[in-house]
Amino acid sequence: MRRHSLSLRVGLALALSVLPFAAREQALPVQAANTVHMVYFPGPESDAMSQVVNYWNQHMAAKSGFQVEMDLFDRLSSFDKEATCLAAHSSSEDLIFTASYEVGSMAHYLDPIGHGAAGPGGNVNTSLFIPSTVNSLKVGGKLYAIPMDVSNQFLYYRSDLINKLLHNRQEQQLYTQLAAKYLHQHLVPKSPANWNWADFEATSIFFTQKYNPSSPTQYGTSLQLKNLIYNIMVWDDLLWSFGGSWTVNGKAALDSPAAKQAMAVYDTLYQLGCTPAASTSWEYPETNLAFETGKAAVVIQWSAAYHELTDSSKSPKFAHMVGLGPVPGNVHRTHVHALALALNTFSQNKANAVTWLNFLGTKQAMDMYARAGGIPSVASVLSGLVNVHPEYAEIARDVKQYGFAEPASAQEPAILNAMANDLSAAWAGQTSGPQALARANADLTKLLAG
Amino acid sequence: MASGSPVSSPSPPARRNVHRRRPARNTRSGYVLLAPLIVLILLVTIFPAVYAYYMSANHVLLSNIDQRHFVGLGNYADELHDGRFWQSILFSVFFTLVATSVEFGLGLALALLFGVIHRGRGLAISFLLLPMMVAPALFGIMYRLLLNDFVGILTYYLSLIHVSTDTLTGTNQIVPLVMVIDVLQWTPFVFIILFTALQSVPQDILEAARADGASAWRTLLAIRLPYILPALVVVLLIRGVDAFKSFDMIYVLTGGGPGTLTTTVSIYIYRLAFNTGDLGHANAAAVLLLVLLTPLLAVTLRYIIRDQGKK
Repeated sequence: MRRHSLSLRVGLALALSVLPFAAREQALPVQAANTVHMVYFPGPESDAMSQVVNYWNQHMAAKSGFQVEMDLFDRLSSFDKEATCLAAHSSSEDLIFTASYEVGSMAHYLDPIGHGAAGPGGNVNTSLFIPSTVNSLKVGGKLYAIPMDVSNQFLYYRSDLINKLLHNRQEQQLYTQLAAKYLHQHLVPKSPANWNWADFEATSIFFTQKYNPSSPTQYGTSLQLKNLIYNIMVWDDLLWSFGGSWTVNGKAALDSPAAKQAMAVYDTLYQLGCTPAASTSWEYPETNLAFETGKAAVVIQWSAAYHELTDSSKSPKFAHMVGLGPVPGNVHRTHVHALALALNTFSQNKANAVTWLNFLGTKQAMDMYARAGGIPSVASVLSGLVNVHPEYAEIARDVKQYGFAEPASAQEPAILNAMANDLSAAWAGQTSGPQALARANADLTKLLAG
Repeated sequence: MASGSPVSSPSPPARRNVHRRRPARNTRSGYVLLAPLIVLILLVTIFPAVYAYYMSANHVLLSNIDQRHFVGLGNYADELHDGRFWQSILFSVFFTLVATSVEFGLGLALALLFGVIHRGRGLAISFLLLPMMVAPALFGIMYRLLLNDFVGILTYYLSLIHVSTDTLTGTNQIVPLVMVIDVLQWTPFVFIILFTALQSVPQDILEAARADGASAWRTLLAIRLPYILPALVVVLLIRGVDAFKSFDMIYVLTGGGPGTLTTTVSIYIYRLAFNTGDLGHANAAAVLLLVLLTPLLAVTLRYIIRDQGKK
């Protein structure tokens, strides 16, 4: 009898022990009132934001009545994890980290913000930010997030090698010979600021040792060909610069002549061996490594790479030989997206979250963010830090002059993924360029139809 | 005290009554103590499985999970007609067969080898088991760096003997490469299971075989392998299932590429669910996968249960 009642007590205790975990959601509102939980991107972005968060918590938390806590998911699947939390109607995060290419798929779970929005989100002030980046975060005419980092691409080149090429007659003759032989065009070296894609190809061939044994670099370039949506954003630079886009009059247009020209550039460079064979599995870090180790002469790379490539502790040999130019093209175009913060519609702490967002929308906060390594979407902050970050002036100029954003929609992530699957198959030689484009076009048509 | 007194001494029936009461009480106590675990299992396995079946019969997107409409078997039909689904299944089958076979062969060879080595065996086994202690995703990252054309250590040493890593990491070699990495990580697992099983073979049987003049090879084929057959089956089953559902290492290393060359069925379903956001099709693909694997699992499990029953 005593043993029986003891067993029952132990069993009851074990059963009750799981209840606090279930009750955690009910416990959160008390905690949430004093803490704004914000998801952020781990890496340089969170390193920069931590400075702003620390400043707030040390100097402004007491007065405002709340502190801010940054929650980091992993970089590879951050958006996937957020999507799962939002689909579960979780209130554990007040502010959601999003991006121009993700906000459409998350909009259903976010509160509109900015002028004219109902609820606490209507008090968010976005006047400080570059208008094009704010517009990239609108879905159906409603704004859903404030922009933090602005991202675009540049042409990075070895300034020492290009300068020599531009002043050395012998090298220029060889350049012209190689262009005629492999591209069947008459080309002469010119300043990277004026390159089109043929110039990029010719320069890549010239700096590939297979064709120019005296080239200091093993490869001309390092393409990012991994099955990854960010590599599609880079490829889109070519598509847009040739006058193409994803859609024309609402219909899929990935089988256009412009798309075929864009595919042909990648195909030519890969088939000629101007980029390593392994680049079919490469993305941002590998392209940086190719440049830092002096193995590639010219690359198309994200703006965030500038501070790494010019950091002598990371790139001791070539940190002072980095040239920056617009992405090549008869018309220079660069994909632009903004990383951003959005208000979770299930948040139970919206008033404080909006207060924090408005602080982020001040020059003081964005200046702190920029000095810590962030690239805020604020023209005055970017131009004010040119002495410390010379690339910021280029970013501000290129985003304004050459920037484009793919059409925002709930299907945008799915479209990017379908294109990554289909086009990388051609880059890897699994299928031909036209076949890959046809398949991508069919997938896009299906996705646009909903 | 007269004999035949109506007062009797303690009798067996009283003791039998005690025995009958104890099992019922112990059983009830057992259920009570097991209840939290049973509830947890129901929550994390049965409920998600049932919900997956439900989702697979609906058109439902991650971007708007509240809005869904019933499509019956439509998602299943779409997946069965999707070449990419079958391509991922074929790759998973191919990957499983090759990787598991190689791991089995190498693991068995190592187990036999370590059976005759005694000096330093403990230390050697400790080092041998190290790869399987590393998370698969981290293993993928390690090899991504080790094999990088420009900063990889392996690449550097291979270049000293004039082996180009284009031959290792190019499109044509990526499939064998991911298999090699899987073999490097999981052969130790096969080894330790088989090594332990081989150690359990009774020595007197082996001595008797030796006394009868049986060769080492004959002893292996006729005595040792049959004796450890259940362990062989279990290790093949575990590694086979694990290899089939490979995700972490391959996703980190190649993202399922180049193109879709290394897209396993797990990566396919993950992309469908979280990159495309199509939960209906993703769940349908997962259920189809279960249907495809069930006969194999059933046969294997029946063998194991029958074998244990015989013992």
